[in-house]
Amino acid sequence: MDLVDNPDSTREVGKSRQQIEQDLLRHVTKWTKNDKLWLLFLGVVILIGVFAYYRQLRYGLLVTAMRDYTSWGIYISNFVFFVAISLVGSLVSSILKLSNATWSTPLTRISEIIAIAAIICASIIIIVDMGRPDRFIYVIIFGRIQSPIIWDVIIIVTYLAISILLLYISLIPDLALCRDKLHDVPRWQKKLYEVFALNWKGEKRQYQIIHKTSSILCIMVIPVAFAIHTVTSWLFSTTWRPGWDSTNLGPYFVSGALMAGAAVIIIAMYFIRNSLRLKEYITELHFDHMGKLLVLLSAVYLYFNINEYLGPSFKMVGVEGEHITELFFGKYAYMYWLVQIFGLILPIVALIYKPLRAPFPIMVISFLVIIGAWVKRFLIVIPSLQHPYLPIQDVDESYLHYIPTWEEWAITFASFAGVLLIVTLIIKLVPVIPVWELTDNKE
Amino acid sequence: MEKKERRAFLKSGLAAGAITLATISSCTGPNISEEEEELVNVLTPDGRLVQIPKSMAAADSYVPVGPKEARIGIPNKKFVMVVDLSRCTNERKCIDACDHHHHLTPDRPYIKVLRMQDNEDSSPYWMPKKCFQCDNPPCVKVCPVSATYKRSDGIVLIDNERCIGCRFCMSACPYSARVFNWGQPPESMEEGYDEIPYSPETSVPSRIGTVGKCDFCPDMLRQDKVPHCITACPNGALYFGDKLSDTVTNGGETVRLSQLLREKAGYRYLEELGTEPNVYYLPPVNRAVPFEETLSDQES
Amino acid sequence: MKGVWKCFAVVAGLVLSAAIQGHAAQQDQKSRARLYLTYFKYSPTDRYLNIKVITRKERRNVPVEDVKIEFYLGEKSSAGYLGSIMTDREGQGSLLLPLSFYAAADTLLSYLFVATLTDNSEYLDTDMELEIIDASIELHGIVQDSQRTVQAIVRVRDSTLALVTVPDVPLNFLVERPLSLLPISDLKRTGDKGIAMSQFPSDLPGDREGYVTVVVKIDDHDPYGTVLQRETLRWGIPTSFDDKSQKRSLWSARANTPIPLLLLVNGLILVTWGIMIYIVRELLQIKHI
Repeated sequence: MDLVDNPDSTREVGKSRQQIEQDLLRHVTKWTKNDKLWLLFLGVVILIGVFAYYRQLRYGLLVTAMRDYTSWGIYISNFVFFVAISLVGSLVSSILKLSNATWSTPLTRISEIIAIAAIICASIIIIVDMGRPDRFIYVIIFGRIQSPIIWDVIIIVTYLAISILLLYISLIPDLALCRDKLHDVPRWQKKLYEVFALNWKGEKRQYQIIHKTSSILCIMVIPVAFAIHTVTSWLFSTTWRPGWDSTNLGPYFVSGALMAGAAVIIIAMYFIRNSLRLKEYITELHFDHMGKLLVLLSAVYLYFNINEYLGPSFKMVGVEGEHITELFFGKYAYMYWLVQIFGLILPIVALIYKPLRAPFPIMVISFLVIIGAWVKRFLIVIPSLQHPYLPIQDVDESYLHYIPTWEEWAITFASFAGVLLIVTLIIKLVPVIPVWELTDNKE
Repeated sequence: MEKKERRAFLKSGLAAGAITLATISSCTGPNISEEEEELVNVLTPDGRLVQIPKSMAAADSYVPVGPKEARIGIPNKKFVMVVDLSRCTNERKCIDACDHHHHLTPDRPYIKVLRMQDNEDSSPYWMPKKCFQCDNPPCVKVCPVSATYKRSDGIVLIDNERCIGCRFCMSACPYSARVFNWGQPPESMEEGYDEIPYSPETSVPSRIGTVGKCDFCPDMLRQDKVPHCITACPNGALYFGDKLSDTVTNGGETVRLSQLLREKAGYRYLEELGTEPNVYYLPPVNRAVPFEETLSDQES
Repeated sequence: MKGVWKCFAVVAGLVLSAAIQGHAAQQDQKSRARLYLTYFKYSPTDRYLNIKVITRKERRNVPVEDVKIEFYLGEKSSAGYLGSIMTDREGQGSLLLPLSFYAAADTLLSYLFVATLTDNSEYLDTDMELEIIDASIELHGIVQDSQRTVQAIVRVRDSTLALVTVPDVPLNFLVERPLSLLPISDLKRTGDKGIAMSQFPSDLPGDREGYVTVVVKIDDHDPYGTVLQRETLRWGIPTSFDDKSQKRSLWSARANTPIPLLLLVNGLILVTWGIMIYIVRELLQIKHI
């Protein structure tokens, strides 16, 4: 399709093909000391999480702060967060591509890698949340298609498969490049390139296949990506909990996910650009464009936010009213307003100014957006559960509030480390910027 | 050996009006020769008393059914409960009886008695709350593995050998009827607890990482007895019965369900949710005893 | 010699008194159990003696479990022995009256039942007597001018053992329900001719065919005990059982998934995965170019 195979001349990289290949393959071969320290750090964080999970397996979910009323906690909000992040893959490699925003080409691979890492960790975190992970197979053996959880399982597996395909298709020529150009890599790595490069020779017909299949996937990934987060929202909106019992929840979740995804890309761009010395490939222009995009997506999310809260807060019906009061003025008010101001209003206002769309300030703002997005999901999951229709009486004091335990935090941080680990490992195996899409179009 | 088959009604000694089928009894006499074995009465699944040699009878009269049989409801029945709010004085005897028979510790009862007050100006009242056994059960809809299911007799049960512990049912239940075994169930400290054969009809034994709730005591219903909470209530506030035969009993008094609901303006809690509960409430009007604040921790 | 005898008598006396005291002391440690004996006539050939054994413990009545109760007719002898039971967890037990009872019953004006608790290590020996005059109920369902009436006639034996009707016997008119007996009228008493009547409600559900079992009952009466008479009549409204659990719905089992949902989800899976399989096949073509 034209949209895909015709990146325009806005490519700022005024370098020769050889130079580009050299620049972009550099980080694949070399393991710096920083790389190793980074991996060690991630490993330690993951190990602490594994230990916390071992305690949870041994003593049950009792080690968490979840109890009969707050029966879902930060595992679930973290799951929703990761599912949201995973939408970034479709945002950049599909929506931007289809809308002819060819400047985004260098960002496609990063976003696809992040999408895959996030979706894998979302699946892991949802198993961590299960009371009986030993019975996970029952979901397949006894699965009832009436249950939104089964829909979620189906759509997660589907989205993961599509994301892997999407990443892989655009990787084939680069894998061939690695196979041909990288000589001082371990044998297994060489073998890997050889097998997965699918005997790529750069033939015209081979290109045709890649363009055709990636075009199909680009279109297909959009409804699937919308579905994955909409189905996740249905886990909530199919119940009667205040704040969940809303017809607005699907688009609200999807718009929030796209916004968070854009912020994640900006952060990833910043660190990859600096640590892998790719300043010529990920330019200030990319940050500028992404900044504008973030403003747009934040505005959309703001719109859905207003929709989500205005109706209930105008009517103030029963427990729905209690829930709104708790968010606006109660014990979650500080979190709620910080999220609204720093995670939603600030990016819109600040990123309108061009100077703030420079790499560093926009990275900081994106961090605020990401933290806001995570806390926002906490606010979606937990306060709703604390306002059931029937009063909470006669229960142990621990049932009345929810303050996550160290085990929950350790597992949550480990899941973040897991995402970063997967991203890091993939980046150490393949070029993070699609080389062929830059070089082949120069000819 | 003489084998008598008799259908029998036994009036249990002191429980006036209530008919109980059963109890082991032996029948030996001097006129029976010594080689003949002692006979005992046992209850067959279809509700008849038959006499069989003692050696053939199980040590206890009734063995609860396993997870597979428990999925099939008691035929041609539709169980309902009616709670007369005007009679509840928060004695908490229903909770005690339920805890006792389900081996529950007081910190995680299946039944709660809530102090309710509909608005500032109206009088408070006590509201015993069990599982509502909805006909349009939100919890069953969302269960990914059919661990919780609805039977033909209207009862919603949990198979804790199937439950994966996702707790979606707990989020879905608008009545907070479900409890979770966050850790090892405290009652598993009881000696021999883990050896009790599991039955979804008794919800015993509880298992870590799975959900539990009020089950309407189908093991009792299979023996033609009412659930434990019904007989435990000193005020007769809890009625139980079969909707198809239009009859409920509180252990002492037996009345027509339709008449009771009509005359006392029976209602279902949060009817507007469309869950179609099988637990009805009679409004807390014309109370025999005025409302009295009882501290919730007085229970023990 | 005499002294030896005297000495022996003293020793024997001491031993005996010690034994008596010991026995008394043992008796003192035993608790007192109370027996409640009731007679239950379900039909002329189905009669039971029900026993409930309780004791006082810490000012509360508690049931006595696992004690043996023996039953006799008339006197405590092997001739009058009816049988024995062990009490259950609720301290209760029922004895189905044996054939030996029926052999003796026809010649008696009244039955004197004795329940005894003897030779128990924890409880004192206790007896409970119950005298019962055999009463029988005749039950008819009468339909007149579309009005349904249950009629009951109560009879006992007079001194010549002939059956005569009795007035002023309290009667309950009930119907059998799954967990209990439902009264269909207030308590009635038999009139001069030993007859009592009750109207049968027109809107009572029966079974699938409309059968209802009517029960007339003399409840815990002195001296008749509890006497029941049952009659199954096709007077109820037929009920149909609608097994919703076998219908297709969002809450039914997997086998009863609603068809549209099944088609939609499987259709989406097929389309999506079909495309993906196509793409994978296309990609594998790259290898052969």
